[in-house]
Amino acid sequence: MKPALIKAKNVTVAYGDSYALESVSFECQDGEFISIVGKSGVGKSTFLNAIAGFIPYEGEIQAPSNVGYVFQSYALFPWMTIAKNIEFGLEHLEKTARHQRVMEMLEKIDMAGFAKRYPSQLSGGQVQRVALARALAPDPAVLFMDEPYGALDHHTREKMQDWLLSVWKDTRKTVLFVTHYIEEAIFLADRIIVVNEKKFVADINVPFSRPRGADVRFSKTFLDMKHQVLEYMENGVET
Amino acid sequence: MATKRNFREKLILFSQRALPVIAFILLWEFTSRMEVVNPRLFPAPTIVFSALVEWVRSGELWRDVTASYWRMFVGYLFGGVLGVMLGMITGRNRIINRSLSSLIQLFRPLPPVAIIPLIIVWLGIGDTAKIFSIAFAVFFPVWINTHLGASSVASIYLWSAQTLCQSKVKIALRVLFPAVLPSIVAGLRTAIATAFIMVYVAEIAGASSGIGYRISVMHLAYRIDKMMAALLILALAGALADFLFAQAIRRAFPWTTLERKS
Repeated sequence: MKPALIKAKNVTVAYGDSYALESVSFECQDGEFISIVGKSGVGKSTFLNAIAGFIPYEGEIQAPSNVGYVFQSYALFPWMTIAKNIEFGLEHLEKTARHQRVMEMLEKIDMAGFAKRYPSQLSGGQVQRVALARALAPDPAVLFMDEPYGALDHHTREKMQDWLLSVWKDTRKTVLFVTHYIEEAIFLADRIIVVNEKKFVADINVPFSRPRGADVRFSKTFLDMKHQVLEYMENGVET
Repeated sequence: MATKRNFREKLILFSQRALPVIAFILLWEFTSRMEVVNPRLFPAPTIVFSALVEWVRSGELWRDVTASYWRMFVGYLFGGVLGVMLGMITGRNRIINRSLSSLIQLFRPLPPVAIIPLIIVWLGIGDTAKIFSIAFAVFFPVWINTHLGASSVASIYLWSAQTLCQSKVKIALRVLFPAVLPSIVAGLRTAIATAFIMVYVAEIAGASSGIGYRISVMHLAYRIDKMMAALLILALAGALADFLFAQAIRRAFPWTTLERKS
């Protein structure tokens, strides 16, 4: 068995006297797509921020240093054009290679004509596509996505999920995807970690093969899983 | 058709803006001419305009305006640069913030015009004293805005930058600074008005040129028409400085004025 790409052991995050995350452990293999699902304020994003090294924590974490991160809000730098946003993480490349990489990423997200636009001139879905391109451009070992589609309407969110899977199948990057939408978590991931009251309460394998079509969302297995995850989210245990 | 409508819309917009001004000037002229109040105390706009022409012809207007603008520009530059630099430092560094902010806050409530007599005692009535007074007054609004902006930058911008780039200098210049920029611009814009107040008061307190000096001399000579002409120029100079600042910001930082796509 290959060694885990990310390993967290008894990780606790505290803000003053209150805990944001209480002694959680986690492992993930290279190439896995994992959804971390839970209600608002249970510690999902805190876990991601701890692994990324943004916030102090207690416990042990082993994770690659080169991570890509996509946030829900403030996803892009509003003062840079789309091309400059993507180019920001490519300083190690020569100018020509940098330009080539930016164009390659823009083509990958079907936004080749948007290079000179500013983020404020794009729709919410387009901003999130560019944010993903920017995170993937430096070829990170792992991609963290923190509720990237949380601010989008239902229709756009589903379109973005399909699109994300189509991009992901080419790169097969390890993805940790935080969301509070159960359907989104099931549709996208190979594994689902359920967080309840600052603790990981379930680790569930998703049985659907890839590629996944829209019909998956209406299958009985999908609905059963949705129910199961909801039970863990609400009560911490399956009833 | 569209061009015709466009022209009509522009005409309506212009009328909405210009009509109140024209009406105000006509009312002013009428009130003065009818001698509702003493015309020596309240000269008509045509008289004020004649005084302005006289001021231009004598060559003193150019000398006064350039003198005032020069003092204001240099003082504004010193106060603004120092305000931005210290604001960025106190906004991002807790230890320096604790050490410096209490000292700065001690001077901040002081009305800047109140220091002018002391500055004259220390530095005389030359340009140095005026520039120092302006810089002192400009510093505080710029510092407080920059400080608040720098201390409240969304962590996500900096976290995103950290995952993409190792260089702290690059992050400071290309992420932190632009993120604070709206606050810096707000501070600098407020400070333009402050700088105009200070240049006016400093020139009244003692000078041999400048718009403030001209107003004070005309006051002594009881030339209300010339005083009003000078006030008009002071107001126009302030409006022009604010307009130029807004244009410069729009050109240098185009993203600040883009309309958000819904």
